[in-house]
Amino acid sequence: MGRDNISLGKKGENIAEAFLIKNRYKILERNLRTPFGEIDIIALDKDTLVFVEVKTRTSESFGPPHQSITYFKQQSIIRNAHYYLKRKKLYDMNIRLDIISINLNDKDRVTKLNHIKSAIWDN
Amino acid sequence: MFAKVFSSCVSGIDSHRVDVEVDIQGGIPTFHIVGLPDAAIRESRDRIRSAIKNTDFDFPDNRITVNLAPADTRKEGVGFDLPIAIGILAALGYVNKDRINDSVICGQLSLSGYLKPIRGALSIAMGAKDTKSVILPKQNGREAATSGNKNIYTFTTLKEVVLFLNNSLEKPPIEVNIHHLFNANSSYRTDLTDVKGQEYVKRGLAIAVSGMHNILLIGPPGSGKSMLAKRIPTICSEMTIQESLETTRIHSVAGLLSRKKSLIGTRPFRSPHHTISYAALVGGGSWPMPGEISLAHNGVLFLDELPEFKRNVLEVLRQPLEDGEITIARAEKTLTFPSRFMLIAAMNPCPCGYFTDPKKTCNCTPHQIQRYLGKISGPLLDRIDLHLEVPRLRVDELSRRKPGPPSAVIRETVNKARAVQKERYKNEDVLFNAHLESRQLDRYCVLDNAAQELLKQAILEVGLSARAYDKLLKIARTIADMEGKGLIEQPHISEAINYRALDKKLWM
Repeated sequence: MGRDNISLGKKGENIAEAFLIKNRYKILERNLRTPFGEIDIIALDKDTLVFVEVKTRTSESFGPPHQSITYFKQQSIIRNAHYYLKRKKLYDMNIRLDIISINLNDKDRVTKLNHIKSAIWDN
Repeated sequence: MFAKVFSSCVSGIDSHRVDVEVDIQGGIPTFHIVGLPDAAIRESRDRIRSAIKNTDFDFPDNRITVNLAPADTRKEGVGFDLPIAIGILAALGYVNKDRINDSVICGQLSLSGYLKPIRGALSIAMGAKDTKSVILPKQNGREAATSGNKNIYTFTTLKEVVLFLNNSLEKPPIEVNIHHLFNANSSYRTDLTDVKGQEYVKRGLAIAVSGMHNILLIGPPGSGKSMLAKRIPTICSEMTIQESLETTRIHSVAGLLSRKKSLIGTRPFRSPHHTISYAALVGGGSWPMPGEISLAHNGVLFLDELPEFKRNVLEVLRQPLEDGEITIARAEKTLTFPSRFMLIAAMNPCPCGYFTDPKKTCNCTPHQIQRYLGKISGPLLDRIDLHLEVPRLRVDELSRRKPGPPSAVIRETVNKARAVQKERYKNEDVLFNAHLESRQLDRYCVLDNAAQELLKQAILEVGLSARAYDKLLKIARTIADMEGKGLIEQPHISEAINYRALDKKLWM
């Protein structure tokens, strides 16, 4: 593959951020660290607070990017979100946990961008 | 955001009000149902979400909590799909809350938003008589309307329900003409004339039915015991609408009604296999459901191959045979199901089955036969009044015989006898001769002199026990009633003696 996986991820997050801005989202945080991990993007969609997890891939041979989010990863995202809400004391807002999944080709062009709203529920 | 929807669930055969409370708050999206829901209700979240989305509403990305009140009783069934969905939509403001305040809503949802039928709709309709609208799936409409409730509204999709509650859809309540429905469902497909010959047995059946005496049929394989037993409901007196509603209710709770058959107008005939479990015969399970004995309420319970039934399973028949109901106790609560039926038992005369057969030879030793007959417990035999031998007819005999009278004719005699009993027992707590207690026998079973003489002889010669004596009197009483006679006469006694085959110990 020859490409550094970390910078691939960064590329994807930048693309996702640009996409959200284009859709009138207000970006609040990028790569926010919590004691449990990291939240890729925190944005505001009108009155809804959205936590976005971005997944980038260059090929579909391991399935679409969003499928790589396991149950444990989902729980981790939920935990991260809870932490942020508690810290900022935001208890009564409309909250959403989204996933943006991005396919890049070898020329760093976006071949597919999938914004899955409310992909993660706390059940 | 909050909304409350009134719904209903069935416990035993009665319905109980359940309040479906829906609360929607901000926070990380969740969807929880609390209030001791069973597994099916817990699964319903996915059904409800899909149904709402496929009805072109957005499913809220919020913290959704649904409470099924009262919260300390277990809830079961899929009938809560619809009220929960309506509750969510009402909390969001898509459904008029005033309209749901005077409605009772029950229904199952499919993923596409279509309504599917539920069990126990009749009981639910009966329990919601004073509600302005009872909202149910379409397939449960006629069944629910037989309750007499005039406010049943049925729908096929979630969308229709929403439009109706918002007064955007006009719908008349379901009406049924219960007499039409009853008449349409009250004819039997079989008749006693289907059985060739066996006039002696048929006479015995007529007597049994007239006085509600339980019967034991004894005969070799192929003698027609099952065939005869199946036709007993056809000679019973016609079901009243009251009985029909009772039976329909029980079958509705058990999930045995279909859209075509929304009212049961013929007496049920239940014939469980002898490997049946305790819970299936008596009722029960983790969420108590009616058993075969309750499904046979107002009808016939046929136990073929009686000695093959497990003893502990037969023991439970005592309460229903005596009280007409069965009580099922659970840690949480005690439920009572109605269970008044006529018991027909059948067995072979010996283990190989051919002891009394004219042609085939029996290979059983006397010891084997004793053991086989001893399998039936005393207490159960005690509750069986008539013993009828059913011989296997030869082929040439079968083809020679003329067909006997149709069930309708025999039923007339039965009805006559029942009318006499109804009049006689109107101030007593018994309904039929079979239920007479010992102390009542003196009063109601008065014999003329010839009859008394014959009875004395019988006791001496045949060696009747006191128990058998009581039964003999009851049978004779019924025979006399069938002829419209007040006093019991000698022919009645002599015929009654015939029907106590095991007393005479014919083959021992």
